[in-house]
Amino acid sequence: MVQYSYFPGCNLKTNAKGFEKSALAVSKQLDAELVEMPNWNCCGTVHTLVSDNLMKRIAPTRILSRSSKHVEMLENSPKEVVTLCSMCNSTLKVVNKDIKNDESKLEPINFQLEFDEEEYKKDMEVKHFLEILRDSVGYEKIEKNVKKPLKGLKVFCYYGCMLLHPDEAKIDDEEMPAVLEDLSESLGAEIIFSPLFKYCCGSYHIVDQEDIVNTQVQKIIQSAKQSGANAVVVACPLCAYNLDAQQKLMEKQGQDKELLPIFYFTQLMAIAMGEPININHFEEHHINPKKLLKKLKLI
Amino acid sequence: MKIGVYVCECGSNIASTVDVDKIVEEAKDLPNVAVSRVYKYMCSDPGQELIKNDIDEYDLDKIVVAACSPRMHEATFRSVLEDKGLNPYVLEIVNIREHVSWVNSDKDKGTEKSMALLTGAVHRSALMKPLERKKVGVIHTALVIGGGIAGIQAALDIANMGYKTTLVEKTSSIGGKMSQLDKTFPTLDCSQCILSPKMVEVNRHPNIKLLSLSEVVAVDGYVGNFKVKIKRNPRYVIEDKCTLCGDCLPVCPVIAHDEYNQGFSPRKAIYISYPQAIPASFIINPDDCLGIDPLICTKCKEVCGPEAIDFDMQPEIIEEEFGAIIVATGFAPYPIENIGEYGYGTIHDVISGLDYERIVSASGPTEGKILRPSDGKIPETVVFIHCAGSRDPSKHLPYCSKICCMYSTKHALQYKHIVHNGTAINFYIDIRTAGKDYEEFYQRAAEEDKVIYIRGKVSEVLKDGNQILIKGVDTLSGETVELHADMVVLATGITPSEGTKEMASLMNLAVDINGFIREAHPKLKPIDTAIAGIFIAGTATGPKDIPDTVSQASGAASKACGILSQDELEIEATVAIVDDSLCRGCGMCAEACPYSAIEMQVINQYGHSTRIAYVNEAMCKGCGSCAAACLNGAINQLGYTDSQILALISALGGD
Amino acid sequence: MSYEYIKIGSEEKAFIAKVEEISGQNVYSCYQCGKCSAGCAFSYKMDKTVNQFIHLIQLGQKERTLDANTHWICASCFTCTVRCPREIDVAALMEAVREISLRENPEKVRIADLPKESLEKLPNIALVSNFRKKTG
Repeated sequence: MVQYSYFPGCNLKTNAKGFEKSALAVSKQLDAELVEMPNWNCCGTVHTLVSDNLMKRIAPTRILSRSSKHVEMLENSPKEVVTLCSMCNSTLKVVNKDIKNDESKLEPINFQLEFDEEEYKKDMEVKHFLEILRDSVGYEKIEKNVKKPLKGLKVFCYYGCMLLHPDEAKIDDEEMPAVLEDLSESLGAEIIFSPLFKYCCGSYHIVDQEDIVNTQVQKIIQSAKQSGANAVVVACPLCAYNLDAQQKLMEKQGQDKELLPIFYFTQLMAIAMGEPININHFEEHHINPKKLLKKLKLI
Repeated sequence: MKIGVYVCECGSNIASTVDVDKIVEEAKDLPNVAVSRVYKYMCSDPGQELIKNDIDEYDLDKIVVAACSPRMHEATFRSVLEDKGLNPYVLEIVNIREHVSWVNSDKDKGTEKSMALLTGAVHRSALMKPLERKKVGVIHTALVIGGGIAGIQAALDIANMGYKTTLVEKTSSIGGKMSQLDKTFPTLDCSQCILSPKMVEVNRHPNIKLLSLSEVVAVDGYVGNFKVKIKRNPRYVIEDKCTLCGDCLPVCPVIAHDEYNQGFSPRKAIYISYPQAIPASFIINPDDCLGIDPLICTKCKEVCGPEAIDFDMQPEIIEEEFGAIIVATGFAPYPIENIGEYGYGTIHDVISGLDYERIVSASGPTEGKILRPSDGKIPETVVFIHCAGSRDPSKHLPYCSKICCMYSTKHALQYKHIVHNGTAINFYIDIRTAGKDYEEFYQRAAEEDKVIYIRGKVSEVLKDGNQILIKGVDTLSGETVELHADMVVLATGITPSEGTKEMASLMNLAVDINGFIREAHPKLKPIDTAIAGIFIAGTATGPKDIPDTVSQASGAASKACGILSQDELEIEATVAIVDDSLCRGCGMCAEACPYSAIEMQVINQYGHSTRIAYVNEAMCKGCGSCAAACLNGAINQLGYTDSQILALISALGGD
Repeated sequence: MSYEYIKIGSEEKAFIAKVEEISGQNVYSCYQCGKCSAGCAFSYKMDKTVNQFIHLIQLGQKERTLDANTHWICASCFTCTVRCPREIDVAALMEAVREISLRENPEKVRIADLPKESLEKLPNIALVSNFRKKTG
């Protein structure tokens, strides 16, 4: 059994409860338990690209420092902080590399962290749970734990941007990733390839430029359907929200009747590995995935 | 007589559009054919063996090969015949690849045409006779024309290989255009620093005879045996006596524009073009001097301690023989005053690339400070206009001058190195950086030196007060743009120099549509000319940078030494031959000959002096122009006699 | 079409320097190949394509750069950054221009103007990242 210091980030406690609960459940089954770190704060969601502002690097650094202490209290825990949300993952990874490489940035940040009795010692690595599953757990073990192969599920693996961009944050080859496909395949799902697997969903423009997101989502979903998918698997709560809510909106506007349910990869794992269905919090979804799962006799 | 016929499939090159089996079968019925075969690659070793075995087995005495162009494999098959003791000239090649299969997709028609050509060849083959290659002696001395970096390199290489070399330079010093350059891209080596050691080496090399102020005025003869007349113009200063003391300078009353500095500084009538000049001697320019005919002033002569000045020097003609010639006569900048809209010659601060080289050079008129010509102020904004003349087939030069992208980038970078706060803007059509480390140099200029690049051609350059208004376009943003500059540098294109044009015409060298000397083959013989023994190097063949020029010069030197190292040269046997009894001495053949291989001679015949044509076999290329021109049928070309050609034609016609 | 007047004086150079300082990028590394524009998922919404936008910065055209909508359409997806053959962090250039704009004019998005219902239903990461990108 290995325990990991787990940084949830805000959304896993609000809109994406199913993501977190399913992840925690399967992590236990796989002897790679995610243990929530204490006293965490928001990472800032996007890492700053501004070189002359250190303020926006303080929050992620504080997380790294606290996680480092948390690791000491865990069983067999590597010096790694694990995230589920790909935006958190990207933010923490970029900031971690940035300050590790640049003492002139770390020093004033640590000076600031002293007020919280924290000091970052450049000793942490940031991992996305997908990396843990691929590199530490292994697909073989996952396959062994599958009780109900996801037969009939034709999944389009949508990476979005932040799992693969920028270079400092990527968890796989940025142009030809395979981690989501390999994982879904080990769960018994059929992989549907669609070229828009990393085509940006419009991200935070949802707040003030919804039309942009709408156009992006239409293109992505259209392409996935044309390729023959009946479900989408994602790793980012913002991608999930945009793909989910915008499809529902299009349905309301009468543009589209056939909707693709959106799953977090951990939800697919939970179903295949026989966890109780309610931990997935499907009631949070705009498009209810249960319809498809029932049709395929997976629940 | 026994003829062997061999048809090549050339993989599928020939076989796919010619029914090779059919023509092989039909060929068996042609007169004198003893054996007829097909093979996949006749040029391969097994293919050649096939022919050799048949020559033994069937006792063949003529061979016909139907395959690719004789340019490809004539030599291959000739050596097959020679190996078996046959004369190499009883081989006939039928080109059924370039002439049939590659230009035709209909297999029936292709087969029919191949058969017709083959039939003609077999008829011609029956009349072919053994020919002998003659030999000529070789003069072991080379002539290099042009003392720029190409000529310098070629002369040094030949001399270092142990052959005597005469280097002829038109101006008072060797060094060429490279001597005017400040720094060279992409290394920013000082041009003069890398050039002058080579110039000094030329001067003291025991195998090199340097003739400055000299021009080649006549070239006769042929490979291994060129007879050349060189006109040596007077320097009016005795090279060996001049000590470069400079006592003559202050007393000379004449002020003229200094050509070396592109006219930006003055010089006297007696001068040395630049301190490193070779030969290291002053020169008097007779157009400027008041001492040479009529004698008005003798001030320099009066002060010259070593008595080096001789107003009475006369031009002399030197006649020498050479085994090989290298033409390295270089380029001239395009006359950019032709581009009216760019204002060169009317706007003082619009200058050429070469002008800029002198301005930026530490040895130049401003001692390396970048000062604009009009008022000597430091320009705050300099615009570099690429393709000034180049890539403009409608009015100027149709071709890319190749070096301008790089030198404009270098110019902009040098400007930024000297005027740190200045702005350097390049207007370009494309940036072409195809050379080792060139792309990196261009990127460095942009990244490190903040040289700005705007893609688009400038339409016009207007004087606006003491500034220059540029009207251009930014094709990437799709906007027309205007800006003010303090100085404009035109990336002047390259054209063949006067010397290049003169030498081409003097030696009957073919030139391309732009006046550059044409290579014997643009890819596989880029250093040869159409005339054996004459080679080309440097920008005489087209725009080139220094590395390419130097490589080509070394190539030309090695080609020349390939001739100089022979005691005798074999010449091609298929030359024109004159039947003295039929020649009427009209001279039309001599006019038709593109290689000047025919001259009219007066001989004593039947007790009369008669004028008849004489073919210099060493110069004859066997093109057949004379044989076609001769009204009396007095000239035949060996290997392609009238009777052979007529047999071929009548067989083609089916009668 | 009228001529755009180009002048690269001290003001223009100051703007270029500011963008370079904030972004940590060399704008003159860009040789205008256009791969960023070609791969941008939002090009169709931009009034200046990404490379045109960078070109404006190269020429120090502050006003026209800030007037473009390019940097506001950019969603920081980094496709341009990871594909740039000159290793320019194009997304960082976008951020730098946003930053310059926000330092003068901090409210591209006025939070007070957003409907309450949006604020309630949207995921926190959408709101936080949006405000990080669009408010000073």
